[in-house]
Amino acid sequence: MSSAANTPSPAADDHGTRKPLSVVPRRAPRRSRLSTVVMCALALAAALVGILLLNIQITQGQYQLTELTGQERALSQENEALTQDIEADSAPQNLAARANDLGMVPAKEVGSIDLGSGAVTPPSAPAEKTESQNILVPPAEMKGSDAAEANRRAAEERAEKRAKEEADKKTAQREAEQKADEARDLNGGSLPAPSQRAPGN
Amino acid sequence: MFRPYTRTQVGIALLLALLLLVVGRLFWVQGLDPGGRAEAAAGERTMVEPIPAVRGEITDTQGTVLARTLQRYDITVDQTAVTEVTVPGKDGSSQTVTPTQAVYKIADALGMKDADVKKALDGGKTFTYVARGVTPEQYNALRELNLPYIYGQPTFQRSYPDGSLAGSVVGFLGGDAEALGGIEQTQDELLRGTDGERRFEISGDGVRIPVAPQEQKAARDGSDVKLSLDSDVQFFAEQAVRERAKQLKAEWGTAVVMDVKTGKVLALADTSSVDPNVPGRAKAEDTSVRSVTQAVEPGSTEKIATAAGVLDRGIVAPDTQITVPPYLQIGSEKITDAFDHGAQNRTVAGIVGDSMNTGTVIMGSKMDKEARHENLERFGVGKPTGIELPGESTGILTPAAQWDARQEYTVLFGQGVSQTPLRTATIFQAVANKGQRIEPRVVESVTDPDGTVTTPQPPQPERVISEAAAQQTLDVMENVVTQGGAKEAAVPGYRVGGKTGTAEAPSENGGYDGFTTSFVGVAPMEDPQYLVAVTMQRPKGDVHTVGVTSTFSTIMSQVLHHYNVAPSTTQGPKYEMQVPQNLKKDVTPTNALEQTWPEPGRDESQG
Repeated sequence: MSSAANTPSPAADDHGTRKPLSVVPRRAPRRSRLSTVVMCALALAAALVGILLLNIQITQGQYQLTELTGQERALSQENEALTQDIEADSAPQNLAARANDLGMVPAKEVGSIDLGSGAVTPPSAPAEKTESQNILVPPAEMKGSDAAEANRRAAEERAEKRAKEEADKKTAQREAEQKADEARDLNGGSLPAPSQRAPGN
Repeated sequence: MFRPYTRTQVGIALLLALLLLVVGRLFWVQGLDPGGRAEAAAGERTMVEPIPAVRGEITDTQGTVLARTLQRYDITVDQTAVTEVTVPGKDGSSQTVTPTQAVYKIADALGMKDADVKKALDGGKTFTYVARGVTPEQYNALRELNLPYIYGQPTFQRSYPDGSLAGSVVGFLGGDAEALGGIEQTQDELLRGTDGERRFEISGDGVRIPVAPQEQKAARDGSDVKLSLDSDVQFFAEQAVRERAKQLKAEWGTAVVMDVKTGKVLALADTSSVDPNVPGRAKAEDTSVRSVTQAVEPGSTEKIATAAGVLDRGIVAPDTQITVPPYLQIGSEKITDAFDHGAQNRTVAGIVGDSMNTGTVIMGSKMDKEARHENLERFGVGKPTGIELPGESTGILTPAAQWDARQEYTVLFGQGVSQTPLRTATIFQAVANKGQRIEPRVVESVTDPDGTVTTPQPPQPERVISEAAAQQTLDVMENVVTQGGAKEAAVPGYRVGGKTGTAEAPSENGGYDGFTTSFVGVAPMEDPQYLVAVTMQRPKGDVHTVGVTSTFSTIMSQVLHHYNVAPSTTQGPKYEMQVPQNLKKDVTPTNALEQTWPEPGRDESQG
C-alpha cells in the first residue's frame, strides 16, 4: 500500500535507548478502503458511461447516416422527377404544340442576310397567320411525370377541339348548301328542274 | 489421509464444472456449430442487396436524352403472411389492420384498382408482384403503412421523354428488362452494364450494425450511347411525312435524313412508330424502322444509279443526244414511259429529267448485263448497310445470269430489284460525296461509366464512280428539279438536285396493288451536305398526284435552315432537255437499242 509507506513508523527506534514517552503523533489519515472502492466504481462508471456515450454516438451517427441517405435519396428522386418534367416539356412535339397554342406558325420564307451586301436571299416575308398546325407526333406516354401527363391531356383537348371545329365546319357547309338549294328558283314548284347532262360526264 | 473438502471448495468445484459446461456448450454452439445455428443467425442478420447496374442513357447528337433510367420499385407480397396485423403508427401508437383494410390502403398508395390489389393479395404464394415500376413517391406512401407482408424491390424503369418520336430507332425493353428493339437491342451489351451486390448485417429493428463486417461488390453501370440522330430534324421529318401520308391515306411512309459527307443518319422518320414507354400498345409493324426493314422496288430513283454507271464508263455525257421512240419493243417485251410521247431527241439530262424508262434503257443497255449488275452492286444494292438497327433487309438483287428477258432492262429503272429506302438513299449519298459511298451509321459515340468516350470505327469510304462522273450525275439531278418533272422539290435560296421514283407495290396475293412513290435529293448542289429521302407506300389517288416531292422540299428546307447552310450563290449548269432538230428519223421501237452516238469528249467529262 503506497499510503502506508509515507507514514512515519512509530516503531522505528525500537532497539535504541528508549525515548521518553511522548504523545504519539496523530496517525496520518489513511485513505479509507471505502474511497478506493468509490474511486474504482467511479472509474468503472466513467468507463461505462464513456462506452455508452460512444455507443450512442455511433448509433446516433448511424441514424443520422440513414436519415441523410434517405434525404439524399429523396432529393435525387425529386431531381429525377423534375428532370423528367423538363424533358417531357421540351420534347419537340410538345414544344411545337405549345407554340401552336400561342398562335405561332411555321416560317414559310426564311431568308438569309448577306453581311457584306446586306441583301436578303431569298426574298423573305413575314409569316402569315394560318390555321394552327395539327401536330401528328403524339406526346410520350411517360409514367411518373406530371408534365408528361399534362402534355398528354393538352394533346387530347386539342384533338377534341379540332374534331369539333371540323364537325362545325361541315355543318356550316351543309347549311350553306341547303340555303343555296332553297334560294334556287323553283319556278313556283317544290322540285328543282332536272338538269341536263353535260357532254363528257 | 482423507481430508474432507470444505463446503467452499465443493461449491467452487461445482461452479467451475458448471462454468465448464457452459463454456463447452458455448464452444459447441458457437465454435463448432454442428446445427448451423450461428450460421443461420448470421444469415438472418445478413442482408444481401443487389446493386443493379444503371442502364446507360441513349441521347441524340445534341445530348437530348432519348432514353433514361429511373429509380422505381417492384412491389411484392408474401400471400401466406397476409393476416390481421398490428402495425406501429407514426406517433408510436399501434393499430390493427385487417387484410381488407390493407387492400384499400395499398390501392390508395399505389393508385391501383381495389380489385387488382385484392387479387394480388389472395392466394398461397410466398412471392407475387402487386405492382411493378411504382414511383419512389408511391413506394414511400406504401412504406408508411408498415405492412409486414409487403416488400419493395428497387428496380429501374426506362423512360423515353420523346415517346414515339424516333421510338422505333431508340427501341424498347420487354417486361423483364429484355431489350427488344432498336438501339436498345443492338447496343444492349454496352448499355446494360454488370450488376453488383452488397452484404451487410442488420439488427432486429432493421438498422445496419455499424461494426459488423460488410462486403460490397460495386456494380458497373452501363455506357451511354450517343446517336447521330437529331431529334429536331427527326421531329420535322416525322411531322412532314405524317402530314403527307394522312393526305394520301398511305399505308406507311418514311423519311431518311443523312449527312452526305459522313454517312451519319440524322433522322429516320416513320409515319407511325412505337412509343417505347408503352411498347405493348404498339402494332407489330410499328416496332421497327421501316426504312431499314422494308425492301421495296425503288422505281425511277434507280435511274440515278444507271446514269452514274453510264457516265462513269464514258458511254454518255449529260448532253449526249439520244433519240427516244414512243416505246421500246425488245423481242416480246414492250417498255413504255409514264407519259405519252412521239419520237423525241433527248439529252441524257432530258431523259432523266422527265424520268423516261425508254431512254434510260437505251443508254443503260450499252452496259452489258454483267456491268449493269456490277454497277448496282457497287452502289451496295443487294447488301445490308450494316446500320446499328435490328432486322435490316438486304433487298433482292438477282444475279445477272438469272435475269429474265424483261428484268435485264427493268433493273435499269428500278423494277425487278428491291432495296430498303435507306439503301436508295446511300446511292444518292455516294453520288453526292464525290463518288464515294460511306455506309450509314446511327451510333455516334459510346461513353463509359468512367467518362471515356469511344467512337466506333467509321465505315471505310468505297469508291463507286469517279469524281468527274459524280459531278455529272449531280448536274443531271439538278436538272430534274430546275427543268424536269420535279420542280416542286425546289427549296428557295438553295440549289437542289434529286430524283422522283414511282414503282408498283407488289401485292400480298401476287401481282401489284398500288404504288411506292419516293423522292431522294441532296443540297446544296455546289457542295452537297445533306440528303433527304422520302418514301410513301400505297398512297391513294391518281399516280400523278401522289408524289412526295413537296414533302422532300419541306424537310430539306428545314434541314438547311436548321444547320445554317449558307444560301447558294452560284447557278447550276442548264442542259437542253430536247434537241428536236437532231432527231434521228430512222430510230424505231425495235432498233432503238442499236443506235450509236459520238463518244463524249474528254473535255466534256469535266462537267
